[in-house]
Amino acid sequence: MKTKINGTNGKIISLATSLGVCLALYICLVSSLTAALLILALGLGLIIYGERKDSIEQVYLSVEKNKPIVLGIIVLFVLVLPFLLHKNNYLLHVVVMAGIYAIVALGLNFQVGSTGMVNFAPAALFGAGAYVSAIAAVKFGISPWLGILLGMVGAALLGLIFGFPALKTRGYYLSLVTIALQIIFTQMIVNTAWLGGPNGIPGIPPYELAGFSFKQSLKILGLTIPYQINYIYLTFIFLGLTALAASRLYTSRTGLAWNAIEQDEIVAATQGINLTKEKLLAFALGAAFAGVAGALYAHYTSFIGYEDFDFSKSLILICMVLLGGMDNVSGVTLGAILLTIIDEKLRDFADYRMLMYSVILITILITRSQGLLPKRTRKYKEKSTGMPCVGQTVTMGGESSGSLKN
Amino acid sequence: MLKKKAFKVATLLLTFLFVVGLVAGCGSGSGEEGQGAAEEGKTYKIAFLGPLTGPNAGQGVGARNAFLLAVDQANESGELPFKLEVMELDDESKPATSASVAQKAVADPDVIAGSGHWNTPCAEASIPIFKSAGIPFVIWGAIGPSLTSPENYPNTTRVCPTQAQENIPLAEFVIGELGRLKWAIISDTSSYGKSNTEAWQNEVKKYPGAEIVSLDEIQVGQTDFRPILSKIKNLDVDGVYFGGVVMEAALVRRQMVELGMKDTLMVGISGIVDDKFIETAGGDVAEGVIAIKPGMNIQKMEGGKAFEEAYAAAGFSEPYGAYGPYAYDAANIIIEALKQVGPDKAKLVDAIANISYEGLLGTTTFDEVGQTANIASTIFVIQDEQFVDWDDSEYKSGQRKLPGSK
Amino acid sequence: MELLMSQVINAIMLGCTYALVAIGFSLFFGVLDIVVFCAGDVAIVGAFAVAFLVSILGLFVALQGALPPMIATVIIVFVAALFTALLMALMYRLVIRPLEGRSELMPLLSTIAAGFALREIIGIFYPEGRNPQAFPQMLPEGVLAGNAMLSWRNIIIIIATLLIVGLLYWFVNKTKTGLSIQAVSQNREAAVMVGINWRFIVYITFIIGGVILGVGGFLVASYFDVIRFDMGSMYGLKGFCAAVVGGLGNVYGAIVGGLLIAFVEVFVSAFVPGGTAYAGVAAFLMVLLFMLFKPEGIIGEKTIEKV
Repeated sequence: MKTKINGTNGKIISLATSLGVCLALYICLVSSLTAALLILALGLGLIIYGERKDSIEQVYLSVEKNKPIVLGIIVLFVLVLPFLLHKNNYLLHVVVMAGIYAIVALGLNFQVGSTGMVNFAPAALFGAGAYVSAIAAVKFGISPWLGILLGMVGAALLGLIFGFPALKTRGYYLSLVTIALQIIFTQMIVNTAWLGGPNGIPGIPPYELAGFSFKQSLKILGLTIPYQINYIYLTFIFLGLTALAASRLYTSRTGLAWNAIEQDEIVAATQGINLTKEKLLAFALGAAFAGVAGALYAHYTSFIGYEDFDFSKSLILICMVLLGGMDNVSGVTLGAILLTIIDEKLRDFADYRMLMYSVILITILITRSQGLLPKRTRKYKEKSTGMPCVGQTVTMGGESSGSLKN
Repeated sequence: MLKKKAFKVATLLLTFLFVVGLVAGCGSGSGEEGQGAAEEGKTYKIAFLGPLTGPNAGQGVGARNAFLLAVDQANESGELPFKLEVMELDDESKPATSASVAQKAVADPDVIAGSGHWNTPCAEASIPIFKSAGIPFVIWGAIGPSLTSPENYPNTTRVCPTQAQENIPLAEFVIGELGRLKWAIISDTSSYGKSNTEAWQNEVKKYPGAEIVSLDEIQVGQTDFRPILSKIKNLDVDGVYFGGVVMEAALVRRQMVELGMKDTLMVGISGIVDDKFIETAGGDVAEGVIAIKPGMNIQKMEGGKAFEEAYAAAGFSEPYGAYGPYAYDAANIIIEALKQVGPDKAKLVDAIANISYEGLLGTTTFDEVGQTANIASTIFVIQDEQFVDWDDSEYKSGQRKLPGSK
Repeated sequence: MELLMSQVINAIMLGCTYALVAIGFSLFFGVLDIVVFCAGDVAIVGAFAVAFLVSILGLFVALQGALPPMIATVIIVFVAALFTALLMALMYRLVIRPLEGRSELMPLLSTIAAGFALREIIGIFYPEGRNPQAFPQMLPEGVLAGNAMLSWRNIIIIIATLLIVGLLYWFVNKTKTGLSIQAVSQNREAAVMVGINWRFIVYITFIIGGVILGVGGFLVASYFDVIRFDMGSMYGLKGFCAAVVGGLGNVYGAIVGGLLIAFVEVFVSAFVPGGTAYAGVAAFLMVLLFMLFKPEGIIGEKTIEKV
């Protein structure tokens, strides 16, 4: 397929796309559940239409070509968002949580999406980051800023341990192993009094910058904006960094090696890919992301308990990756944000919440199991021609991933 | 041709944007309308937080119903110049969810008071949020002692006793009065169970000669206690102290009887003073179990009768449970304070903290940290499938003998 | 010595309850190569169906007038098992079949979600569903030879478990449909080629699985006397562990796996000081070690992976 994108045309497309996505997210956030689901369906319809007409690739290409525009709009959107919502600290809180979960989901994507290793314990890794940072701050008085680093390292180490079984098992067996690890993690926290046991850790200090506590409301241009604004900026700086790292990894050799393992381990090994190294890397790196998110979470809510890092949270995190689109950085980020919003919208249903949640989940799984923005076909252009998207197409991933047989 | 396609995408996205914009416009428009209409006969909201789904839903739903009943009665009586509405929020027994729903509550300008939680960690997570919003918060079910503290006063008050307030009179009765010395503890690993275990251990230490010979911490949701009970049977104890709630308590008692331990005394705290315990364990099996419930015996009070009748007449499909009366009083204390000072959050905080309310549980006043000073408690014994006040029971009069009496 | 004996009996009984759910897991996995995670919840639905028939509709009392209690019990359990069989077939049609051919993660997640939905449906729609329910005791009371440890109930549960396995063995090995199930589980393509209606066989398997889970739920509930809407999540998980430890797809392995997990749990909580809190941890650690060093399970064929 020959393609040529006119400069202005491409700019318009990327402008429209990024504005559209930002606005859609904003409306999902402020409107009711029905409206949010309607917009989700509408967006999905658009994506499917794009896929049918093959024009979705054009959008991807023009977005990639006009990164400054897209990034500019997104940054602007994040900067302006707290001012639009300044009267409603609940929605600001939802934004912070969406950012935090998006970071965890991006990390989880390395294992589940890129490498095809099922991991049912992302909440444990997330919790490891939160607990390390919280304990460091509460018991040893270590600065929360340093706590981010400690949380990252702590979670990465736990990720290495969790990654070890992945060297020997796959498929359902790996999912059972990670479920077991997840349950052992939560039970050990409950049983360890030093970690607060079932009472959790209260009074975790917030971040501080030159004497300014992040728990203070911000006064700008006569507007008083709840303290969540500080955390929104902080979280989204980290989300930006992790998204950048994730997309760089995707295009790097490591990302390619991960995809090769996902397709067929044995073939990958015969091609000289070091399975042990790559698999452990996927776990450790993903866990490091989760650790950062955990540290941010602990110092944001100022209280953590084991219930927040249990099996059901793991399931929700996996759904974020799956519904967003495996191995697609923008898909995973969108999926995490959308699912966080939908989860919050369901709160109006009190007793019926979990029932609604599972029904919505099953519906999405069945109607669109490849996710919102599915895994893309990798394309490599020949260096000689300047034309994008010409040359051999290396198929990696695609529609159905993973085999039925173990 | 390709240009066309790209254009198509761009136009589609722009249309999408437009549609989204429209939806948003409609959404916010109708919202404003709704607010405008509410001005006459203003409705204010009280937030109710508690576990409405998940493992503790039985506790939360019963309390929620009692809470709703109190508010409905207030609305019907017409003593308030405005209508009250309950905002039901599910904390799922998870601190993170609890923080989210608390944010949701305080973000609504119509919310003037909150009441919540069965789980102590959930209360830890939401209290700071209500406090910083200046909204009074009455705890109806969480028993961790640290929740009512000088920092949280006067914003946070609690109508239910802490674990110490329950365990002191219980120990006085069964150890001091009945002279049972050799104890086995079974309690769950939740914060409820753990804090009861600690309190009971402290109490037992105060009595010379009394000792704890075994301590077993069970998981909430565990169903098989025969291994533990077989072990305890071998130890030949004077009594089994159970620090948990109905489901596990009923199973423990049933399995005790099954293993031939009918003649071993079982004592419990307010978590098991619930007709569901007798119903699920079986009347014959439950005979002779002792439990303590703070507050006066509601069956003996006029208000208690009226409450039970009103609850039955309201047609709830669930029983009010062990914490229903506390939630009912919590709601009425808020309503009483509203009658005194009107819907002003700041005044309401002080009014609740200084209240003296005659309710289901007797007279409730709050001490210098917001803990209820109403520590009158009633010892119940199960006699003929009913919780009977010890003072009226055939066990006290000597017509029947407690299990394990020498 | 008596303590040890009673703990062994406790472990065997608990093992049976796990095995009943694990058999379901293995059956479905054998035919479709997928894990149906809501098996535990379906079993608890079966228990609630029995409770509904007996406690709310009063069927047991009504039948007792005309029939001996044993037969009345069997009829009631049969009706409940039919209901779970129908539920299982519906489950296959609605949440598993649409995901066939997709990644293995999909049916796993959709059945986990379905399990959540089942739990919540009981919680919301069963009268007072959020609270624990007394399970009507229909198995005979009393003990064998005056020994408190050998109650009739326990003996019946063990016999029923063995009977289920025996019947399943007979069905799978001696009947044409059963042989077709084996054929499908060994090689689907070849089975289709020799004229087996594959889809029909899958439905049959889910219906049989549903019946087993329904009866299993009844036995589990009879053993504990108390049921609650969310019991299924724990049973599902332990059952899955038992199935995997025994060897996924192997019905006899399910029993061995169930017993093994039960023995670890019982002995850790009974003989390790302060061990009760760690019983679950120990059981899952054992599962973990099994996965690492003997992933094919106790009774399972070692498969060699080909490119």
